[in-house]
Amino acid sequence: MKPMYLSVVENHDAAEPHATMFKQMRGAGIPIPQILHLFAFKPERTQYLSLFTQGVMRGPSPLPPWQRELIAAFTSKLNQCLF
Amino acid sequence: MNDLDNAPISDKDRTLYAFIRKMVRDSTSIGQEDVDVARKAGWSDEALYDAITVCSLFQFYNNWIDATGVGDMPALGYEMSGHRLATDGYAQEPQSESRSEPAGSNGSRGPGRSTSSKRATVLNSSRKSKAAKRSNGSSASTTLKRSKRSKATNTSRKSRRPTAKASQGRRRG
Repeated sequence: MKPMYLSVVENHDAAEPHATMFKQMRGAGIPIPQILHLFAFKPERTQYLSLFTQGVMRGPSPLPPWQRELIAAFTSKLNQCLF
Repeated sequence: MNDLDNAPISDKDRTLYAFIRKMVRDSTSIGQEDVDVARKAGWSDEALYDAITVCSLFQFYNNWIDATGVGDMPALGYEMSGHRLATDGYAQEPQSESRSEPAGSNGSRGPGRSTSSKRATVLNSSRKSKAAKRSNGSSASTTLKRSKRSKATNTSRKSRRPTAKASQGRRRG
């Protein structure tokens, strides 16, 4: 995995709950998805992004979750972003 | 996913994804008439609001990870991620809104990730394509993006992504 452009963000000493999550992943030999470093860097604000995302993707909606996932994937695809 | 016009989907769905495509390419091009077309196809304002919100959120995520250099994960990472999203969802405390997905127990979540064994190979070119878009205006890059998009076709994502299993993974590739 290539290092992120922002080394300070990637190597930041994560606070909870990310610290435990990262420790468990390392212990299990699972590579830490780099996006989690973006969340772990300023958790006091990204926690709201997580909740917002959960609501947007899984909250009550006329669009079932699979369709929202598909819209998300389609958006990323159009953006050449494969997340 | 690559060929919306010929994808084996309903006209109603096609209308929605055409709307999303137009929005991603240039959201300022969206007008009342686009919404009216979607409505006529059977989409409610609430559905459109939700679809537009999903699209906007992932535009943010795409920008966020591109500019920070968040890269590819090994296949295992995608499998874990897909499983995590399918079982836990995106956030630790989604109970206020979540309908059926159980809350996760290990912290904040990232955005959804489609899986792609080809990401590593398209990543560099995709970045180039984006750079081209920024510096050269849109027409050349649109062509470039289209060609990249078709090259990025793959079906492996479907099989690796549990969250997509509900349906239509084929449109991913």
